[in-house]
Amino acid sequence: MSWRVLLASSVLLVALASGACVPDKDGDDVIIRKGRYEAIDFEGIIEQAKSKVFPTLVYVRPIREDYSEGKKRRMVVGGSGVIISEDGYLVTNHHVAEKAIEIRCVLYDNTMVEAELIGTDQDTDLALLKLKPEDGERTFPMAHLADSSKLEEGQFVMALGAPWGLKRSISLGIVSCAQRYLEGSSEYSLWFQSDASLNPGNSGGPLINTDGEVIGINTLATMMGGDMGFSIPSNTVRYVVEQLKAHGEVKRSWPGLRLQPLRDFDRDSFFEGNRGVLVASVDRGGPADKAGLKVGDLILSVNGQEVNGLYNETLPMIRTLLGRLPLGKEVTFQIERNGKPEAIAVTSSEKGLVEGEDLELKRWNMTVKTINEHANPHLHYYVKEGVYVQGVRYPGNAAAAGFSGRGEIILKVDNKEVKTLEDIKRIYDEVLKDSQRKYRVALKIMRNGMPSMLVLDYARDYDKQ
Amino acid sequence: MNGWMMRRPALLLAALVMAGGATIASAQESAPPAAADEVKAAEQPAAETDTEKQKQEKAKELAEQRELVARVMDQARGYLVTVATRWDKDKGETPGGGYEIEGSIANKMSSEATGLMFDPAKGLVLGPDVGHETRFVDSVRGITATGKEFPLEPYGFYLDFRGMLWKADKWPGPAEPLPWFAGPVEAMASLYLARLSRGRLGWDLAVWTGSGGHVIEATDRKADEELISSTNGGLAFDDQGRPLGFRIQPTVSVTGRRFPWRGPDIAKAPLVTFEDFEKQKPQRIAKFDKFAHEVKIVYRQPEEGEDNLEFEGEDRTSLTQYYYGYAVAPRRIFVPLKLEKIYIQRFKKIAVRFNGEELPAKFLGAYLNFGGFLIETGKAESPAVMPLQPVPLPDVNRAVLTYVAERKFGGRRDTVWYNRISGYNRSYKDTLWPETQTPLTRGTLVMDFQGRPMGMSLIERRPEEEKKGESSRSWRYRSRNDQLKLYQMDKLVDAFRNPQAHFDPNLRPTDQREEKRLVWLGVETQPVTPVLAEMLDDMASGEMVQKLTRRGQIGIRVTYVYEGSPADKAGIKPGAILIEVTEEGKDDPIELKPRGSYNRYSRYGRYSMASSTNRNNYLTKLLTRLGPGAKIALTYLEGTEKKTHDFTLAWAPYDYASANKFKDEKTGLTVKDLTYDVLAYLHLPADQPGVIVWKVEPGEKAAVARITPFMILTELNSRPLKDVDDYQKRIEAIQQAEGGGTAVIKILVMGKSRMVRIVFP
Repeated sequence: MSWRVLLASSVLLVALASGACVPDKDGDDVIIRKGRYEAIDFEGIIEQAKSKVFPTLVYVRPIREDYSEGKKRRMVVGGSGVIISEDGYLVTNHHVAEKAIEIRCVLYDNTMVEAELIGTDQDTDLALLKLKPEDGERTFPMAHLADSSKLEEGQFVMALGAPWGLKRSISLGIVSCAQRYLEGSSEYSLWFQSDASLNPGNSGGPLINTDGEVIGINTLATMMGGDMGFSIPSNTVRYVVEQLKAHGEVKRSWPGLRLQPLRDFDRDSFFEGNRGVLVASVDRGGPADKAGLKVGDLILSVNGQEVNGLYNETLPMIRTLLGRLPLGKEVTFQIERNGKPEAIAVTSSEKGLVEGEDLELKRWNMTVKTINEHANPHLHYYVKEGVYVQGVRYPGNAAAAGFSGRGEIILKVDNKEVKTLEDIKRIYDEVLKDSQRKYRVALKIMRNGMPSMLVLDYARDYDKQ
Repeated sequence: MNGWMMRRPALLLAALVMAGGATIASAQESAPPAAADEVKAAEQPAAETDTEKQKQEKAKELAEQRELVARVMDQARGYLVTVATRWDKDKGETPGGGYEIEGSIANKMSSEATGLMFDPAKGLVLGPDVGHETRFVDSVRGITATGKEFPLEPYGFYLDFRGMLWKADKWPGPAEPLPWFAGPVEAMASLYLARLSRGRLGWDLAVWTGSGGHVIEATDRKADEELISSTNGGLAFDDQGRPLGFRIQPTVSVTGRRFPWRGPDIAKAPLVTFEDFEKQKPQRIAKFDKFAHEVKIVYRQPEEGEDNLEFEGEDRTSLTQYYYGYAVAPRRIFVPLKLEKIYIQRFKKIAVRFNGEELPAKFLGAYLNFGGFLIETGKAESPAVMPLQPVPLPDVNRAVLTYVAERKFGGRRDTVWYNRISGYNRSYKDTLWPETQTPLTRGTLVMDFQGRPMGMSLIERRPEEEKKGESSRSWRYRSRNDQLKLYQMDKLVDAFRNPQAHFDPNLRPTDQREEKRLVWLGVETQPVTPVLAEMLDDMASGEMVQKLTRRGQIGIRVTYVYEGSPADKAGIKPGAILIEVTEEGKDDPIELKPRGSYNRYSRYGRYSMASSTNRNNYLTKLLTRLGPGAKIALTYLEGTEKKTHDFTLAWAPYDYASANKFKDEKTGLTVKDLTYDVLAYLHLPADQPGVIVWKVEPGEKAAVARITPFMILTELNSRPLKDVDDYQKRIEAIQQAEGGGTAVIKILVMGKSRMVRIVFP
C-alpha cells in the first residue's frame, strides 16, 4: 500500500498523561485531578521520560542486499532501534533489518557498535538484534517495555529515533487511536496511531509514555497526512522478542482460512449474530479444508477459547489465537453452520516462510524469487511451487527479451522444468558454462494464467559496459 | 484541363511579343530569324558541305516559311483570347478540381486557357470546357492578344467535344468571324497551331508547327482518324495559312470516333446553353426525385468501452444519419454507400421517405463487390423506379448528365450537372474503369440527356484483399474516395435484380453481443519472431521453423488450445506454428503475419482477463473477416512436420466481451456469464458456477461493499449461481420481495473468497 511510508529511522513517542492519568512515582507534582488541571510541569515530564529512554536509543544502519530491480545490489538503510536488555538486545523493524548482511549501530554516546541479527518476523514487522561490542561484554542502558494494553487515546506519547538519518531526535504527540486495524499490515496485532511526528528513519524506534517506558515500536507513517504515525504495541513486541530470542523466528500455525467480521463496516456487510467470526475463505487443500470447514461457517470457539469477531479490529486477536495453536495437534473448532452447532477437529500446519527467497541471474539481468503463498497469492494461485521473475534490469537482456518483472512465472528453461531456485540456478550455471551454445535460452513462462515462450539472448554482457 | 498550356512545344518556329508596348514590326524582325537559325542548325548539322545552290534553296524556303508564319499570326492575333476564370467557393464548397483549383481559390488566381472569338456577332468565345458548376465561377475575363481585357460570362457547353462558350457583351476585336477554310486538307500536311501563352513580360502569340507531331494524318472527315495528335491545341492553320479549326481536346478518342474541330463543324455542333440547362433542371429533378429517396438510419448507441462511430458529412457524431438511395424495385432502395462492418452491425432502425412520408424499412443486404446496400419497405412502393435498362456510356469527351441527391445544410439537395468521360484507366485485376473529367461524388448517377442511367459512382470493394486485412483501411479513413469508381449500369443491373447472389453474408445488422462475436480456431497464440524461430529450430535441431516462417517473418505459435475447440478436435497442440490459411477455391494463401496488435503487457495488471489478446490477434481477426461457414485449409508446423488441416469456420462461443450480461441497477453491478476464455485464464473448471463482475457503479451498494470488476459471484444466498439469467431472476426476486430482502453473496477472487451481505429495504 503506497500511502504508507516505511519509517527507516526511529521516533520516540512520549506519552504524557492526561485525563485520569497517573502520577509519576518520583512524582514531584501529580498533575491531573479529576476535571481540573493545575500547574503542569510539561517540560519536566518530557525531560523525565526522555532521559530514561534516550540512552537506549540506537541509530541502526544496516547494509542489505536488494534483488527487486533485476540485480543484486547493496544498499544502506537507515533506521532506529531501542535497547531492551543490558546485554545488548535491541528491537527494530523487520523492514529495517531484513536481508541485512551487516548492521552498524550508533549508540547514544556516539560510539559505533556492530550488531548481529537474531531474528525477524515479517508478519509483525519486528526484528531482534544483538549488539556486539568489540571490547567484549559490556552493559548497556536499557528501556523497559510498558504494558501497552493500558494505553488510551489522548495520552501523551513521544517518538524517538533518527528521522532521515538525523540521530537522536524526539517528537511529541498524543495517542490518536489505541486500536488501529491496518488491513494487510497489522494482521496479528492492532496498532497505535499517534500524531507524534514520524518520518523515514524513525522505523524501529520506540514510542514511549510519560513514564519513559516503551509502549510501541514506530513502524509506519502516512505519506500525505504527516500527523499519522503507526506503532506496534509493546505487548506484541514482548511476545515476538521472546520467540525470536528462543527460536530466531516466530513459528505460527496456519489453519489455511481467512476470516471476516460479522460487522464489516468497510465492506458494508452486516451479518446477523453477536458472537463468533465468519469463515470467508478456505484454502484448497489446507488444514481447515481437510477438516471440513466451509466458507460461511461461523467459528464460535477455538480450542475451548471463545472467539469474538464482530469487527475488523477483533481479527488480529483471533489470528494470533489461530497462529499460536499447537502444531500438528488436533484442536476443536466449535462452529455454527446454517444455524446448527458443530465441532470440527482441525490439525494446523506450520505457516512457514511468508516470503520467497531471492536469486540473481546476473548475465540474464534478472532476479528471480520463489513463489510464496503469503507474499504472492496471485502467482501461487496458478503455480503452487515455482519461481517467478522478481525484477529485470533496464537496460538488460531479460528486459530486451520481453520480461517485464511483473509476475512472469518461469515454467521451463531450456525445456527443463523449473520448480525451485536450485533448479533454475543449476540450469543457469550449466547454460553459462556451455561454451558451445549460442548465447540464447528459451524460457517457457506464464503470464496472467496463459503460457508463452520468450527467447532470452544474453550475448551482451551489460556488466562490462 | 489547362495542362496543355504548360507543355513545351515540339518546335518553336516563331514567337512575337505582343503586349507591353512592343511593336509588331520590330518583334517580327528580331524574333523569327533567331528561330529560323535554330531550324537550320537542327536540320543541317554539316552546313559547310552544302553547295551554294542548296544554301539558296534553303534561304528561299525559310523566307517562305517566315512569310507563312507572319500570315498565320496576323490572322490569329485578332481572334485569340485568353479566358481567365477566377473560381470561388460556394457556401464553403469548392469544385472538386483538386489542387489546381483549390490553389487558385486560395491565391485568388485565375486559371487561364486559350480561347477563340468564334462568333464576334454574338460575342461568343470558344474554349476548353473545365466542367465545373458555374456556381463556382467568380468572374471570367477575356484578354486579347494585344492585352485588352473584357468581361465574359459562361454561355453554354458542347455535347460532342470538350468545348464551351463564353459570352462577351463588348468585344473589342474584329466584327467578322474567321474565314474558315472548309475544304479538304492533305494527308501528312503540316499543321500550324497558334495560341496565346503568358511569357516574358506579356502575352506571347506563338505558332507551333513542323515535324513535332502536328500533322494531318488523314483527310477523310467522316473517317475516324482525322487528327491524330496528342499534343497541344490551339487555332489550327494549314500549310497555306488558311484557318482550319480550333483544337481543344488534348487527346484523341481511343475508340477512334471523331470530334468536331474544324470551324464549320463546330458551328454546327450541338450546344447546350446554361440558360436552357437551368430551365430544364426542375423537370429533371422532379423526374429523378420520384426514385431517389431519403433514407434515415438510426445507429445503436455504443456501450462503454466501445468505439464511437464517426460519420462523414455534416453531423459527424449523431446516431441518426440521412442518406439517399435509388429505388431499384418498387419496394427496394439501393443506398450507394460503403459502410464498414461495424456500422452495418449497429443499424438499429431504417426508414425511407416516400412523398414526404417516413416509412419503416428493413435491411436486405450489403454488396460484396461495391459499396452499397439494399433496404426494403414493408408495403409502401416508390412512386417510380430507376430505369434499369443498361445504356452504354458514350465515347470520351461527350457530355453526360449527372444527378446526385445529398444531405446538405441540414436538408436535401439535388444536383443536376453534366460531366464527360475523359478516358479509361486500368486498375485492380485489370479492370478498365471509366474516368470522368471532373470527379464524381459518391452515389452520383451518370445518365444520358434523356435521363437514362448509364452508370453510378460507387466505392469499389476488393473482398479478397479486405479479408487479408490489407486493403481495408481503418474506418477512420473511410471517407477517402480513392476507390470511387464509375460502375457502368450493365455491371449493376443484375446486382439490383438478383441481389441475394451479390450480397456479402458478413455484413448485416446484429445486436450488441453478436457484434463482438468472433470466429475461432480456439487457440491462444504468440507471434513468431526471428529469434524465436531460430531458437525453436535449435531446440529441435532442425530448420523447418525458419524455412516455413521465412526466418520469423510470418507465422504464429500456438501457446494454448481451448478444450473442445476446432483446433483441439483437429489435434493441434500448443507449440504448433500456424503458417497460412487458404480459402477454398482460392490459390492465394493468406500468410499469418504477426502484427502490432499483440499485447505483451496487460493494461490492467494481473487481474486482467487479457481476453483482448485473443480478440485482437491477427488470426482471430482474419478468421472473423472470412466469416462463419468459410472453408479453409490451415497450414501449420507440428514439430518438424508440415501439416494441413481443413476447417469449416464457425463462431466461437461467446467470450468475455460478447458474453450475456445483466445490469443490476439496484445493486449497481453489471455481471457477465463466465465464458470459456475467462475460465481458461483463471484456470477454473468448466463447471465453475458464478457470474463475473464487469462493471461497478461508483457509490452504489456493490461499490460500497467493495465489489470490484473481475470478481466472481459464485453463490447467492447459499445456492450456486448458474449464469446471468439465474442471477437476474434471483436477485430481482430478492429486491422485489415484500418488506425487502437480503442477498448474501459469495465472492471469489483468485482462489480467495469472502461473503457480502446486501440488504434491499
